[in-house]
Amino acid sequence: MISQSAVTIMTDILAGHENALQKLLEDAAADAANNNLVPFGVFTSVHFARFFIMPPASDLTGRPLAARLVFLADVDGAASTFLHELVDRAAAGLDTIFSHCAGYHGRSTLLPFLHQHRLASTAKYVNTIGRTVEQVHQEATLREMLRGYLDRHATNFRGTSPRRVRAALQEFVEQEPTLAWARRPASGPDSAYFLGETLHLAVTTIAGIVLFPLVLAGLPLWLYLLRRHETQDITRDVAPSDELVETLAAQEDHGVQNPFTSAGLLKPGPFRRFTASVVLWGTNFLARHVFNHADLIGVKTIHFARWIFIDQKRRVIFASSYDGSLENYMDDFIDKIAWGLNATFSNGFDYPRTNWLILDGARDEQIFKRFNLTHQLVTQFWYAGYQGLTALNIENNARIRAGLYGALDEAATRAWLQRL
Amino acid sequence: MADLELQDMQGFIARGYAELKAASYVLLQITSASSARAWLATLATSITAASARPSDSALNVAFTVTGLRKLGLADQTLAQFSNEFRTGMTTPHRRRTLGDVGPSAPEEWLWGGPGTPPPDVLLLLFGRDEPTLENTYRSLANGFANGGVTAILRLEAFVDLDGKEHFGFADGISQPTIAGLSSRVDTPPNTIRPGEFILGYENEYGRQTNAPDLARNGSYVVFRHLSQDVRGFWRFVAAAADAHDVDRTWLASKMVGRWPSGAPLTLTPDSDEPSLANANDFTYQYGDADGLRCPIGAHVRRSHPRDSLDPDPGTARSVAVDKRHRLLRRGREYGPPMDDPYATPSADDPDRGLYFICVMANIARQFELIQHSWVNNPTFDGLYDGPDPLVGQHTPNAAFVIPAHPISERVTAIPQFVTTRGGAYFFLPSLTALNALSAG
Repeated sequence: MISQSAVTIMTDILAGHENALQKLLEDAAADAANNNLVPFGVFTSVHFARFFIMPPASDLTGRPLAARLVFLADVDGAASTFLHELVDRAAAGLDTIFSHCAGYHGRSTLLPFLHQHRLASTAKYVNTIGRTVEQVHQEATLREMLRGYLDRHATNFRGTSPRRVRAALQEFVEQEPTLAWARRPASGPDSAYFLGETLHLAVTTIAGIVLFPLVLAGLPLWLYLLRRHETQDITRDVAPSDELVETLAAQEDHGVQNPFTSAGLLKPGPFRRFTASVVLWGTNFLARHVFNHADLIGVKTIHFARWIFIDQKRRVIFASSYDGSLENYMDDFIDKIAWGLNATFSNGFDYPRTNWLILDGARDEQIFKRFNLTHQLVTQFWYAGYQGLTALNIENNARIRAGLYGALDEAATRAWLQRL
Repeated sequence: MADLELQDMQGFIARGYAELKAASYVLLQITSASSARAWLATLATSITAASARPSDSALNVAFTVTGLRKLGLADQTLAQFSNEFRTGMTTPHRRRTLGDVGPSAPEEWLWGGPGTPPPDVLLLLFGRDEPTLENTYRSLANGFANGGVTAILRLEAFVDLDGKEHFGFADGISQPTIAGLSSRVDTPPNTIRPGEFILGYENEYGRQTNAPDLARNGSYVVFRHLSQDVRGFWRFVAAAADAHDVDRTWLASKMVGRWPSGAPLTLTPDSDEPSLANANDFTYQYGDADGLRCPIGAHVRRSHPRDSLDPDPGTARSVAVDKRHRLLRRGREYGPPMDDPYATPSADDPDRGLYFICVMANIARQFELIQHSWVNNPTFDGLYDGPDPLVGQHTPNAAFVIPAHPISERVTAIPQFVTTRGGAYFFLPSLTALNALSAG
């Protein structure tokens, strides 16, 4: 099975080059699939990709942090394979982009430059591990063609048994050469992948059991420190300006999917750094082994998400591709998993005050929304590999394909037909 | 829970004055701030409070952000109102999310768009009958010139369609009950904390909506001037019903989610049942989860999903989400009733539609979310290409799915039946705030 990789590349921007770079990216973004900088439409392995600029900032001690260019992509297969293909097919455009960046020495050094500036994700979430771009497109086509067939024969099928309708659909697929692939189920996890994941789970669980006494011993101290930080942390409630809100909104709601990009400083001190590391490690673990299929504890609108520590763990980038409006996205989180938001983000500077790491915090709807907006970054360039499809649509399409063949009883057949 | 200060609130929050059959919505521009303040001071004495139950006439007043600015409200105070109110209905982003593009673009609007004078003040005027309303309006209008205000437009809602809207369906059945407003007891899912509609009180998150102190006992009003293509609707329905070999009224009712009488399809799926016309105590998850009775895409189901959305449909958690997205609907129809939608229209076929007016405390979370994430969203609750078939913004591939066994049927290429012709966001101040504004 091919599983998805999260590619991250971050470079410093040369002093004074920010505006030119911004213009370059914004112009290309008008046609993310076919622009002449990086025409992402040619890469059949790309789910989502984005470039964004982090404006110059400073850390909590006042040390300056240079302006950065960040490139993120969610791709099928290995990151190194994708980077190779990227350089192969878009070297000129990438050269134009990275000539605005520090330490770049021309086209001949492009691939090593990209590798040198790669960052690992601290945690990542994939809606459904192993579902490729090709599969998403194929299954969307299958659903459209089956639905079209039903539309043409709808009145004839009235009063027909579900079993006979399904048989007619199977026959339609068999007579349609372009749907030959649909006669086989999607390639599930192969034994090597399954073994690897099981091994990872087993080793981690054993390590957890071995270390448990240590965790237990450290817990009182950790809780004491947590409470001390939570009661003493300064959290400012900063309102976003109307200009910021409008700038951010300009890139949103052109279709049913949206990018979310944000960055923030961690609260000062080793305790918060340690806690953030542990929580994000846990997040990654759960996303990999538990929430790896179409549902993040009730939130079913996220395609991909990742957290990346940068600047020696003084800052974190969070980025996602999600369905619906930002308002709906925030409400979704507040209403469904405020505790999870609190755990993963409350080590961030200015995050609304939490109690016991998971209580309160995002439950203050308005302060949380302001925090979100004031930490959001403009995504100058965003490419989506399958526009118009929500994560719910994609999952439904997969289930249509999965239920096309194989044994289904009467009730299951009826339910399957309702998916079309 | 804090007692509601009804004597300080404008009546429009508490009621739509249904017994006052005639209404006028008057858009004014402030031409002289000082005269307007003096005019307001007098006007304030005639404003109908929420504690009153007028049987003859009623008057309420609301302001746009430009109106408040002209009246001299400090920038610092203005900045504490919501971003939606301050930046207005026609920002590039809101055009996309509210569906105000193409024929609904603000450039085409009769009012509230870039081509017409920006309204500062909205007078909401109601009368027992047309003559009563005319009298009240005339005496008010006499004071405009000296009052430093000019009328931009007077929108009239004199029509009485017997509780139905122009497409022919009963309207305004599902209204939330504000907790503590009256002694009337409603079901828990339909009883909403006052802070969802009135600033200065606890909302469904147990917090107060951020607003300046001045806004206490006030509210926001969303006004949308919506033109309805009644002929287009019924002609489309007739053709689609023929193509699918079904009854016209049945198909139209599937699109609405209620029968013409108002009876919900979820309770009576096969035929209209007038005894259920006002039925509002029902849910979707148990008995109608797949939309076999009321389709997922139907207008009433998506604008008020009750217990049908994540998380945990059918539970209190799902209902809690619904309760954070409710509106007090205060709209009225305009234009003459349609006698026969299939007849050839005369050359001067008049416009008809709805002055969609609603009251809430958080425009972004309530009106805008419902309009964008539910009504206009073609992928609402797992749908494909399925915006609200009745009132949504439609692209050429707009479709409506009617779940059925063995297979659901799909009505495709649905034209758009509702066009926006005007609109703005207003602030409805308390009487205390009104006096403060008039004092400058």
